[in-house]
Amino acid sequence: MKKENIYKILLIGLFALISVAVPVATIISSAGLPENAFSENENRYLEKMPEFNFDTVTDKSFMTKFENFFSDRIVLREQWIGLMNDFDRILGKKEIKGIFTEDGRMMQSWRTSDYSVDSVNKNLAAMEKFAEKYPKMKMYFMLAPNAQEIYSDTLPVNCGAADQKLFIKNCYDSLPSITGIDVYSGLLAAKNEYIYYRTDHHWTSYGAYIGYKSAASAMKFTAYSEDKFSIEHASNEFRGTLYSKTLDNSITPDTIDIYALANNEPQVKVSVYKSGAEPDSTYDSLYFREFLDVKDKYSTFLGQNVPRIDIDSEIPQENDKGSLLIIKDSYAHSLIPFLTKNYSHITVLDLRYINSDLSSIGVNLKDYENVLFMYNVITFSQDTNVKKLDFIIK
Amino acid sequence: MVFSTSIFIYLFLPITLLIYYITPKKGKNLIILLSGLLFYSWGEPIYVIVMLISTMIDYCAGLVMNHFEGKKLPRRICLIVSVVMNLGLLGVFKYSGFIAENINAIAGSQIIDINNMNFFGIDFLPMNMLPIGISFFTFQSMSYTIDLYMGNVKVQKNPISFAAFVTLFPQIVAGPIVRYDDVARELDDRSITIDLIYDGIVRFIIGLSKKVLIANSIGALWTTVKGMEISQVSVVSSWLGILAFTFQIYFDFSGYSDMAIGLGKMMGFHFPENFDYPYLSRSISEFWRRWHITLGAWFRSYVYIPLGGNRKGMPRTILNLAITWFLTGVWHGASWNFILWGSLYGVVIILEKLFLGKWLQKIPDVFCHIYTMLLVILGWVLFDTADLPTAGAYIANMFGAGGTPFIDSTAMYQIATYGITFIICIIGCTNLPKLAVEFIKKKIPPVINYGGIIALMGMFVMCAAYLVDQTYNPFLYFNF
Repeated sequence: MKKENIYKILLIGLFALISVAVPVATIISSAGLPENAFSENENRYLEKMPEFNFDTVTDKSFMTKFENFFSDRIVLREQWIGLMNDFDRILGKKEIKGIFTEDGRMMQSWRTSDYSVDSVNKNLAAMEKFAEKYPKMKMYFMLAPNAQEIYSDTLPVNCGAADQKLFIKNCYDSLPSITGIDVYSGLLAAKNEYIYYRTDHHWTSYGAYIGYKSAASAMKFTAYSEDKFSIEHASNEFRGTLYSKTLDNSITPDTIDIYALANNEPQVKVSVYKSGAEPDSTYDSLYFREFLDVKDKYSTFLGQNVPRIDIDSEIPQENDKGSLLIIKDSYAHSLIPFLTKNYSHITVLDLRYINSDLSSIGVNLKDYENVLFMYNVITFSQDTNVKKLDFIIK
Repeated sequence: MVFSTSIFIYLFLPITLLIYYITPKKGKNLIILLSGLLFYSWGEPIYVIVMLISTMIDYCAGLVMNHFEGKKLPRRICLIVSVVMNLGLLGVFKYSGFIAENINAIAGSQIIDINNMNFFGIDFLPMNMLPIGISFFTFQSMSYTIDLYMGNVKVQKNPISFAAFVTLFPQIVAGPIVRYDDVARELDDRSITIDLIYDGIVRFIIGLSKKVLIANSIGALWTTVKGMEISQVSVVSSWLGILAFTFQIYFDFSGYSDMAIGLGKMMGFHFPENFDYPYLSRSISEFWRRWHITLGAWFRSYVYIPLGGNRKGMPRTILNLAITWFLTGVWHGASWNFILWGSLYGVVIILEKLFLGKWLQKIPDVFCHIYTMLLVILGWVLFDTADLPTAGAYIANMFGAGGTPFIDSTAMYQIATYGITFIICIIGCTNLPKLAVEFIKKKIPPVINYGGIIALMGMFVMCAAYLVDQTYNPFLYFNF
């Protein structure tokens, strides 16, 4: 055989090998998967094998779904995506799927084009209207900046990140009846501490502790000082939502820290309402430790987002500031454990999951003396649910 | 189905090729027909019928024409039936919505309700239907009857062989426009050799990489710029945006042609080339001899030359060019942008024929390149914006008439982010990579032998990685 032919056959062989090995390995490896397989990393169900019939074929839904079915189950899927992201980085892409990775930390990109000023104004107007309607309740708003703001000096030059400090100020300024809580300066001052997860879009327990201290000065309660807490490193293997997108293994996994008062951590009763006015389950801890063993470890803090959570804590009368209604996004989940040391009755509402009058989930506004709105800037800027306050509270 | 998807590369292609290779020679065309129908139906489960009707009529027209050999009138009737039928399908499925819209615009009222049309009880939505590749397969199929009429090809009596020509999946949706004449001999007798399969795989991987690694990467920039309010786009960004599209469309379309040619080789066919480094052209006439070559050749053979070409004096030549280029614009899509785009190319080509061409020969090459690329780039604005006002505003902004800053931080960020990709694009659309490979081949052959295999397999694996997570994988020449 001619020498030239050897390498031609070699190339043909390799091409054939890859073209056959990948589908065969995919079929073998996915044969064991259940029909409704779930991808923890991507936090979604994999596409099911679509039904094959005249309708699904003629409207092409069979084809689209089959393509997703196949690529969802393709062998080494995450390795392929990681390889693609690596190549994008080599090409000079500064952000992968809206995520900057700088200085060992992943951060979401947030530009003025990522939100609508109109929509933000509608939310603010609804909040202000709500506050004016209930002048007897003390209302507070904590709008926490995201990691990319605090570490803006590490972002690529000219990346166009919008100014969160200004955004927070504008929000607070348009809410004369609600007290804005300055958490920004506290976080900025602590920027050398571990205040944001490296692989997740949330703040860490320590970041939330800074939120707690900032809340204390605005809401006039006495915060427990840092040395009163014992800290448990509950997991060192947390790879969060940002990691799920970039699959960048070069970033150190995060630590989930659980804070408890070293002496007399209060007894709590946590009631989770998934729908309706009756709790679906109750817990005797603020920390849902079953989540430490799965991908979504942030849910260790009071579980996943649900319409309503109630927390009753047994705290000494002299420390008790009473009842608190929290309207929030998931940033609040790591903050609330601290607040339970100062408020004996807390109700947590997630407006994203509430679509009818509050009485339908058993909440009566008269039961609360204080209201805290707790959001992070990115979520708040893109939220379309706060304006529901107009109709769910009558 | 599209080549740049996981299911094509990992399911359709290996299974089809395996069956194709083990099937004896006589049955191979049937495999081509069946695989082509599956390939096409995957994207057009209903309109596959349109393709089959077109195929059937042209096949029958061919038989009848052959039967009346030597008799002019019946042969001419057959030709007219075939041409009217193919153009009719194009008219109904591609242009009816556009024509109706313009009739409404002229009449100033909705005399044709384009969202609610009904023919013989069948709902008809002219804006929503454009069978994939209809502009390609009608032109291919017509080439058979026209060439048969003119006596350039022999009749194809075997219906499976003729249907295999139309449904040959590598070229079915985006060209190259393979004329019957190009593959007539190979349809009946072709040999598949190691050399051909090797060449085919190399060509396929190169094409796939052009599409997936380069066109998609740079295309993301154009998508961003196009999505911004024009008043927010700096002068530099608007140039970067349209340059990104200039590269995207070249690498996308020529990549697709490379894949088609490569797949053709794997199956024993030699398709005509479709691109010859068009961005190295020194004039617009030359550009169109190097860009989408098979389309230009089709119009030359079946429109320009039958009209008399350049043999009937200058005024008639100009008219013929004008008609040809107007139709070229129309072929690209049912919108005024495309018509203007094609017609303007016609005007420039006429000017080049009259006097501009002679001037261009006198000035240094560098100015010829600048002149050509400037027109091509401005042409792409027309080509890929929603309507004429948008195109006008975009071009105005490129020349500072939009009142936006010359450069802003967004533009600088885009340069930093896409700089490397731009450099790859610039090198990639010249013949430098080819020259480099030839140079190394001559000096140190073993490196190219084994280094080449490693590089190609690396590229194939990278493409595969991108195809797994297809957040951005458009396909530009799909709608033609």
